[in-house]
Amino acid sequence: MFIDYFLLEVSFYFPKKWFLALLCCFFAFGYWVSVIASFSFAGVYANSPFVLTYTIGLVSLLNIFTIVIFSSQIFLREIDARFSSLLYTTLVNKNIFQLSRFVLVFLITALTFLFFILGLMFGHASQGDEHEKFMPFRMLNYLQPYILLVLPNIFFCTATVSAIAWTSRSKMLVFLSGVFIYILYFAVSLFSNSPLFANASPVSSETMSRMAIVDPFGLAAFFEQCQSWSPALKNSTLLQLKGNFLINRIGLLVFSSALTLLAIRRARFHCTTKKNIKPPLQKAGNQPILPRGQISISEKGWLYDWHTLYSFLKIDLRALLKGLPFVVVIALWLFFLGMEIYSNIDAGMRLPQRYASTGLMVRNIINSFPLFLLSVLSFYGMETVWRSRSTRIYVLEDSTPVQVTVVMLAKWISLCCIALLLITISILQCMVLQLIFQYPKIEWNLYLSLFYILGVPSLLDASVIISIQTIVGLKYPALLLTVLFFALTNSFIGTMLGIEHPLFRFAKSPLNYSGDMNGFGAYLHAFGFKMIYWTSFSALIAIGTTLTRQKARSFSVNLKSHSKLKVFAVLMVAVLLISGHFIYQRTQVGNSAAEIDWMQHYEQKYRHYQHIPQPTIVSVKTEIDLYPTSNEYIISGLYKLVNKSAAPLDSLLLYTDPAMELAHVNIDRAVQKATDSTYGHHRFKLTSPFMPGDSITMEFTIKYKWTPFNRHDPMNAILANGSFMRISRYYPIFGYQQ
Amino acid sequence: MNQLKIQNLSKTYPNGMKAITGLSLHIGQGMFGLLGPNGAGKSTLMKIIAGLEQADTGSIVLNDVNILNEPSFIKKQLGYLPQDFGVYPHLSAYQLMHHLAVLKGIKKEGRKEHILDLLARVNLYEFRDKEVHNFSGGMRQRFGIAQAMLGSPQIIIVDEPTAGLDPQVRNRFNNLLSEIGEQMIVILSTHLVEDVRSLCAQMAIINNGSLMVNGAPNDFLKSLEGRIWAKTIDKNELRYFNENFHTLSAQLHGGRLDVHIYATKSPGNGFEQIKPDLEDVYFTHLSQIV
Repeated sequence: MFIDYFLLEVSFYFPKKWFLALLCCFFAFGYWVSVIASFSFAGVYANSPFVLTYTIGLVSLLNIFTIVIFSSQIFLREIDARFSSLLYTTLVNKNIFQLSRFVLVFLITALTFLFFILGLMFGHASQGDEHEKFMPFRMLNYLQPYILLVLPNIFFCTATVSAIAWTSRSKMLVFLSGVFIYILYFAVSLFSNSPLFANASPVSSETMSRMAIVDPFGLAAFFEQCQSWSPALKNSTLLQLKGNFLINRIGLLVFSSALTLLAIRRARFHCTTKKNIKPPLQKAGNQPILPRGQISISEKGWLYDWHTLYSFLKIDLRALLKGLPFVVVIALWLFFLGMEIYSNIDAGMRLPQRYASTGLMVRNIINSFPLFLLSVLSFYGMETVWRSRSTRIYVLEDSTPVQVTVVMLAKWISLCCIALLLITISILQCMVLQLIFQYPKIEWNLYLSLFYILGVPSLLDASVIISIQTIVGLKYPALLLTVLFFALTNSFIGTMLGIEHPLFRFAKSPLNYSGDMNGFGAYLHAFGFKMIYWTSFSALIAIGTTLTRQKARSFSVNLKSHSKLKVFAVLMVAVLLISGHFIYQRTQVGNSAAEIDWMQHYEQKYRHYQHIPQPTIVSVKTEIDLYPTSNEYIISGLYKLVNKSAAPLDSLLLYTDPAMELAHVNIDRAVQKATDSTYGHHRFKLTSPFMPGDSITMEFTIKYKWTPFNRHDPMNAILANGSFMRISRYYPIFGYQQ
Repeated sequence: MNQLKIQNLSKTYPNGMKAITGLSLHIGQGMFGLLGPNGAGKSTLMKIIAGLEQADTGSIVLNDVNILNEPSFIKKQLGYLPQDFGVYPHLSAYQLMHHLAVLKGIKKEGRKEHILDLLARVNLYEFRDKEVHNFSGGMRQRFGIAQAMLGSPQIIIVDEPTAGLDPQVRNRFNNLLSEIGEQMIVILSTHLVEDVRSLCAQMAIINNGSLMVNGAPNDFLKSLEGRIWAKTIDKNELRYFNENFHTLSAQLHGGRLDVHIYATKSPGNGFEQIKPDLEDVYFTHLSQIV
């Protein structure tokens, strides 16, 4: 019986093309992690048991999302398809049926992660000739963490999510269960100073042991076991199933099994009984019938659009605010944010407590808000767009002259309301925390700036979510596409895949809040331009979606509104190109691989100068003009150069940091022969030999200006207020740079 | 006077199923019955008229405007009660009517009175503050007709409106339709012949997406006069009668079968001539005897 149920469920996924494509994506993800992710542990190979356990354990945290998406589809399938009343009246065995679905979610997640590991193996195998980085391939190094860490973790997450799905039968709560597991995990890790976090303080062995037992993902137990391992041991020893790790794994399996059994027993397998209202018997025709012709006036134009927009908005907001899930969303967010702020104020055992200033609050909100909001918006975006369809009222709504644009706009505004509401609630919580921690200096402007800094990206996120849901036209594939879009354009995964340029990082712009001294500084300027760029991008996507949807629904597009949209689209294309060009001109993107390439080429090109004598700077006179408001400074200087070597010099190799602009240089008796701006070198030929002990002078002007489109160099930070520059590091010098 | 002219309409679904094939029809003011078995293409035709589906070829002209090119024209004056519709949970009858009234473009002045009037006309006035989600089937169907009448439409399309209603509610519903049908085009799509007979001055029968016949029910009845014969038989005799006569229908009556057959002269065998009813018309055309 189990096999029959199981195979029935399996037929929804095998051999569907989209599922095979998903497996390929996981394989590709594994491959990219193997190529790009570099967890540097001195003396430890990238495919050693230690690094593989670390990598696999860390990436396996993402399984929660796979489980949540498939659970919401599999466990609530009959409710989605309105098949409940038929299913529940069959002789299907509830326990075995639910178990078959549970096993399916478990196996799908295990399979997708297996493809990740296969990708990882393939990636490592393809780089195997790099003997400095890789040790000989050992299958067990990959399989052991998969069996000991990944599979039990998938079991735990599936048990938790399925328990919530069966008992609540609410899709939102299923989604939130995933977020909740994450939050709980990070909370426990933060409070316990888990080594998972780079800035964790050292902890006592008791705490570490306690954490090793309770950490549901087993990573704390892994860190505890190998904390004293030497690089040689890390290269050779597999994680041992003993001690706290063994207790942890057994405890996890027992807990997950018990939770699953309990949840299966408590799972509801019947339709919710709804008390129907029945009318009393009435005599036919006992109601007065008003004379006809009283209502025939209809609204037109913008007034009609405004009223329909308002009506849809009211329905969406009512559904949102009346539902329990939104209360849970708010509660979870407040809990998470509060915890983050508390741990930030606490600052760990080595540092004194921080002041609960508005700046600290704002920094915490900015760090945590975007990811949380994206998960909430992705879910509510799906619910909002599909509300008319899932309630089957669309046949009535679609037979009215309501504009597709207006419906989409209403959905977008309702998502924006969620974002703005969450920002407001966060601010209120932070104000309360400031009062509790006795730092009642509330900076209203700083708090209000969050509506710009977090609000604008949220509105753009909402727009793209609505567009994807509308244009794909299938609920779950659209959700997967949304997750993929944001994973590539907003998360570290995209960065790992090389999607680093701001023109590909959707509605993202780094903002460093530097406290009372400098605030957000010049970064706000770059933020503004990027938001203009992404607004035009989102608008173009929305226009495309509207036209497609309009065509699908009305079969012929209203030419008047069509031409208006066209004009708007042209305008947006112009804004996109101009702002994109502006950002592109000011952005430099470098990654570690490019930096290594740069260094290698530099060495190849200039190494031979290493032993060619260069003059010594014996006297320096400079005048430094600072322009903090425009983030620039100019240094004019006079060097006295002496040939301290034994041989006469006939040429000089001057070096200035490539970030600096050498505006002017004049060396006595020297003629500039070549400039290499890539490496900051300038070659000079002396008109007469520079004899040993002889001296000459050099005049120069160098300029420095950084743009907020790139991150500032902390050692060369010329800011409006609170600059810190180690200027001497950037003075011109001679010779090959080690 | 409103006129709806359908010319050479065809629709094939992406899976290759032909839903409508070269259908032409003239529908004038009053109630028009559209009869046909399940899967005949009635709902598709209704959806195309309501602007919810796209036709492949043909035209539908309402008062000189081809609504296939300009679907918003019909949507501004349409009341539509589909075979199956859902409602938003947690919205009362008044709130939901209000939402639909706004979508239909009814002005604020008089909107409330209009909604309450319609709810009263379908006997839902006292339930105006109750959630439609919790209404019984009959109440929900009455809500459906109330929303279809919002904004005094010129054309109302009702698709299988009395399916699942008890006889009393069905009568009340038919009275309501008959009353509104005097002032506008009402297209009643159904497979219940009784409803068409009692309500419609004009009717059409469609099957397999094609028009079988179109005209006034009385004319059809006249054309069959003297050609319908009936007899009560045992159930196991049905095969014999099917093989030897043009059997139109066989309905159980007290455990025996009442068989109706078509014959231009007396078939003998104990058959008695009866006055044709619309069901005989329906089956005669469906079985393509005439």
